[in-house]
Amino acid sequence: MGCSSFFSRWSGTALALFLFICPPVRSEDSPRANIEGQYRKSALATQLRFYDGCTSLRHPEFQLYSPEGERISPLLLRQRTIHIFRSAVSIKEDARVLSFRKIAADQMECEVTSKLEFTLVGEFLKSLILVEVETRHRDIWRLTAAGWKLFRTDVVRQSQSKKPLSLALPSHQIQC
Amino acid sequence: MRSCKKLVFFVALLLPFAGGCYRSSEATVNGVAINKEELHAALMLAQGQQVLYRLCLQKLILAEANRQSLEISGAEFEGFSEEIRNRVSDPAMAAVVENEVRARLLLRKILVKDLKEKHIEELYDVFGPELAKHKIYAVTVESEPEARRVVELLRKGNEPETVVRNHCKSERERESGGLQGYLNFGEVNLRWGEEVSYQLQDPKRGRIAGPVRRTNGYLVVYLSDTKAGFEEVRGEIEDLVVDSRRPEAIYKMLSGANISSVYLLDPKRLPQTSLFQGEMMPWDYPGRMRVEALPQQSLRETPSSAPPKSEDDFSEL
Repeated sequence: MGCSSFFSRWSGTALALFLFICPPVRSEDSPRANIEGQYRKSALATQLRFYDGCTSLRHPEFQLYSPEGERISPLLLRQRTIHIFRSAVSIKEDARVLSFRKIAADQMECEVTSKLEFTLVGEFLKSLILVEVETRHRDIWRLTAAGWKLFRTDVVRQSQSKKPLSLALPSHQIQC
Repeated sequence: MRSCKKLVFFVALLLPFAGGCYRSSEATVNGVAINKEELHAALMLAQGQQVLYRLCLQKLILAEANRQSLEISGAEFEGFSEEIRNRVSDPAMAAVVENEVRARLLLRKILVKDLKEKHIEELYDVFGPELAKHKIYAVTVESEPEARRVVELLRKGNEPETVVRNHCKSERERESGGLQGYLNFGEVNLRWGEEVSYQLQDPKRGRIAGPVRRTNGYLVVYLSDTKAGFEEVRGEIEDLVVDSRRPEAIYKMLSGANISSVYLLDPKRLPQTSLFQGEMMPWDYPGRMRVEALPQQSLRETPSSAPPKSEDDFSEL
């Protein structure tokens, strides 16, 4: 069974495509380009299950609020994320900036839609369950000595769906 | 004579069964024996299904490695072999451990086989800062003025071990000179909080974080050296790729295999129970085999960014 062959698509094509179209973030980029680059970096980190990479865009005082306005503890967020990373057979995230505006000299606000897809093992290893989580959120970014950092996320709405999959895993090409 | 012969025959017939009554036990508790069958049954109930799948996966990995002509050389295995010989006396058990170590090393080889140098470099470009390792010293002192004094001494270029030993509260810090090892900023964040991680990255602060108030005093953290070069971080990048690919690879192997076992077909042969799981003692019992001696990077099964907790774990606040 060709374990190496089904990885070639990930390592050979997807990563190369990602990095060709979405080069690494540079400090001289415009704020929007810089911020969009950081979303893409975070999405790649999710696919690699690299928690520190996912959180590299955060301000040290990062705040997350639910649709009901409740602040979500960073430890709880970490636990949930690590749990998904450990449980999922495959995982992919995509984030798209819908709108972007300057609210102060050192602050930007974006409206973003994110889609997280991951597969979980069903019973007796013979089936997979695809979980899709779609989130619409409003983000505030602040300019710091270390560059633009995500200061606050307000979740506007979130929906989740689960459906069984055939035995073949879905193709997870990284998209920009 | 005939009755003697009968008696000898009868005793000879009974001897194998009599041996069972006096079979050596795995343990005795105030003279009460725990025999091999009982121990085996309890172990199976505690972890049997999970261990069975692990052994199945082991066989699948060894077969796949053989199919791909991948092997672990004598030189690559030497360190592990010696460690196993030093720690495991039972030859059958040693063989099981050897197979498991070999399988894990081979799985890593399978997962990085098609990882090109160019892709490692590209991942370095993206995640280099997060993967870089920093030599970290930490000290907790009683008061804020003393903490500020420590910061001043470090800024003036005094040796961190000397500063720590002259000012620390704990015996452990005195022995280690405050050295925490090489950590990435994620590990710093986990151990001492985001504020410390952020301060260490602020160029204006001269690689010093603190004083930060803790429940047991004032913390100062110092970054003395950084390993961020490509060759220094290459291992971390490969680990990242291995960790991300492992779940899918394991799922494909197990779901595609023809596994047959009475334990898996009949739920009553191996019932699910929590009776023999979980810790019953609040402390670590003596004689427990430490697996830390085996290189964790090669044998890590799940992605982990959680370093061991220190006594200054920020979660106390």
